[in-house]
Amino acid sequence: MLKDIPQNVVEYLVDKIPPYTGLLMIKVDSRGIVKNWKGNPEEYLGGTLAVNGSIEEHVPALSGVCPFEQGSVKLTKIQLKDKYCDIHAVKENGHYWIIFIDQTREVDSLKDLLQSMNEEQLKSRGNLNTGADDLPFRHLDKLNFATFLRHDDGAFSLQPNIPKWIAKHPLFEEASGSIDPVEAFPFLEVFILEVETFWNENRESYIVSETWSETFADKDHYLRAYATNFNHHNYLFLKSFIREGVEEQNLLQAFRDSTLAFDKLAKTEKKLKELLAYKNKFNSIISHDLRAPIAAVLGVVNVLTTDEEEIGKLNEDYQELIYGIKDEMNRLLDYNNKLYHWANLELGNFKLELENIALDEIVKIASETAREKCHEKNISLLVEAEKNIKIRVDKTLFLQALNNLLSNAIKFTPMGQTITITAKKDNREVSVSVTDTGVGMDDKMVKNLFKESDTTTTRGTSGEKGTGLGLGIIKKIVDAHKFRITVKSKPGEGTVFTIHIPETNLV
Amino acid sequence: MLGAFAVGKTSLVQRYVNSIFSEKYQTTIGVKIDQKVVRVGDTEVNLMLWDIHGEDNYQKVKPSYIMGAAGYFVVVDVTREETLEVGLHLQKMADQMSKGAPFIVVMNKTDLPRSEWYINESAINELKENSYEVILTSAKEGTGVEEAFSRLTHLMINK
Repeated sequence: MLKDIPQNVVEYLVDKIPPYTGLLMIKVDSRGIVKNWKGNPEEYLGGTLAVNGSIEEHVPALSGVCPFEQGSVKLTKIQLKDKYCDIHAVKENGHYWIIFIDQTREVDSLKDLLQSMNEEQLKSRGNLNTGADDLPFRHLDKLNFATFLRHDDGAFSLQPNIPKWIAKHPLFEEASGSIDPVEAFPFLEVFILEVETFWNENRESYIVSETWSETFADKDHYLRAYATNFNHHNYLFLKSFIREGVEEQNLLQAFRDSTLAFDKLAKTEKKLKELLAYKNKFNSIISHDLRAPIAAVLGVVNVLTTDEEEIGKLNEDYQELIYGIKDEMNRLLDYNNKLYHWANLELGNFKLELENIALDEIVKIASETAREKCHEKNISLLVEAEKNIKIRVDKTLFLQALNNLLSNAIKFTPMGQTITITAKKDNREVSVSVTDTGVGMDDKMVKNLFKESDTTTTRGTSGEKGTGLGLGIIKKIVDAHKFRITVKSKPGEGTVFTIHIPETNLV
Repeated sequence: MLGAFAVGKTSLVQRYVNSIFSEKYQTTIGVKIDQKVVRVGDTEVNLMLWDIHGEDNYQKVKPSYIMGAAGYFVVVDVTREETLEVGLHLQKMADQMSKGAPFIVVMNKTDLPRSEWYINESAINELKENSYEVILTSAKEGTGVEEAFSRLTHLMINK
């Protein structure tokens, strides 16, 4: 039966339900050597289990049963330490799961029943007329059963030896000892229809109702009804099982609580994704629409600053203001462009258009783009790119990643230092590295570098402001290509960013 | 009371019968039967309320529970879309078993913020267009509860 239960449910049963109803499962090989277990062996076996020990040492009842030859084995009501257990062995892929199911409570309740039956037998030794035939179920009160005999006229009479719980039912108290089960328990109105059919068919065995609950005598009673036909008499039994009912309820409750919690999480996740998509779309639209006005202002400023005659007419303060506007507008344009690219990458608004590119060529284009900024900070840019390496990439995106890496390096490299861009083939992969001799980073900073939640930006060595988006864009592009990016850095010594291109993208 | 698990069937009964509400979700095992005597005009009606366990993969509602029903509620949690599907499935079964007994679809937990509702006005209107009687309730705040039980009692008496 356990094979039909999903693995997570089995694990839940084993790990979560209280030990007195819990399971112990021990995995053994065909010779009974312990391999693994779930649950708490001490509860059942009174000692710790050892991997590669013999199960027979802990469970003498299994002596002689191992090696298992049949597909499954079942031993019932075996006494182990302080517990009675049903022991099942189920075969699975050449191993066996030995499952211990606690039956102590059932045995305890049966003990009372057996004891009273035995006592009665002892008392009536020699007396053949014990009345046992008239009251065949008179001991079932020990198991909390109330027994009703159904007469031919359809009336019920409650049989002697009444369990305590039914004696507290208000209808029983009012009627001073007599009770119509269907009147007392409305649930039986439905079940009795099934029972009548069962009795009319004179079938053997018994039928059992679903569980229902009623509150009386300040207690919630979980009840179940059984019906049988015995010696041409029809019997109806009612059993109250408070403790088992509560346990069943707790177990089901735990499953449902986790289902509700999971549903809530799933809904929250869905909502968060929707919000993120909305945010990215918003960023994408805004940054797209801002491009034109920024470019227009920048165009005017460029005209002003390139016309030396016109700008020469202004005094130095005004000239400085105009150049300041130009710098800020350029920064705003750069920021806006990055925001636009980042939002679109987040939205997945792109499709990789792979083409075969000579690696040294693309490195050259990137270095040419960076050269002007390097010149402004008096930084030497060295290019060491092996020739004859062809890679398959989305040229625009890959170039953007290299440009961002170089901008980043320029930003954090002090004036007069060096940046090197290297492209080479090592074994089966190609790597493109940007090495700077800049300020470097500590381990914590490196660790959080590509985390989206990390929004900190650091000013460059000449006070350059950052957007916090550059590295995020690089990571998105690298991930989209299924490449890797690694970082090595030491504070005060510099940083090396390396993009690793796998063999699959080499041509 | 029919519906998926944790839609508030027991809470609705407790609110109606005992005027109490508990925030804690308490799963129902099997069936819990309560009763309430109400007066409709000159008639005294003894309502036997069968609070049937919620349906899910672990507990399936037994059709025989509904056999003797004079009327029933299909309870839906407005914040859990899937509970409408379960409710409508149970309604079909109940309709067969009860031979067309009157019923009301109860949209419960309406005290929760609208932003958490997955069952919106259009879904409710669609039900109404298909001749389903729908009442919005909150067992927590008590809104609509008396109205729902009174309306079903009325429908049962006049059937």
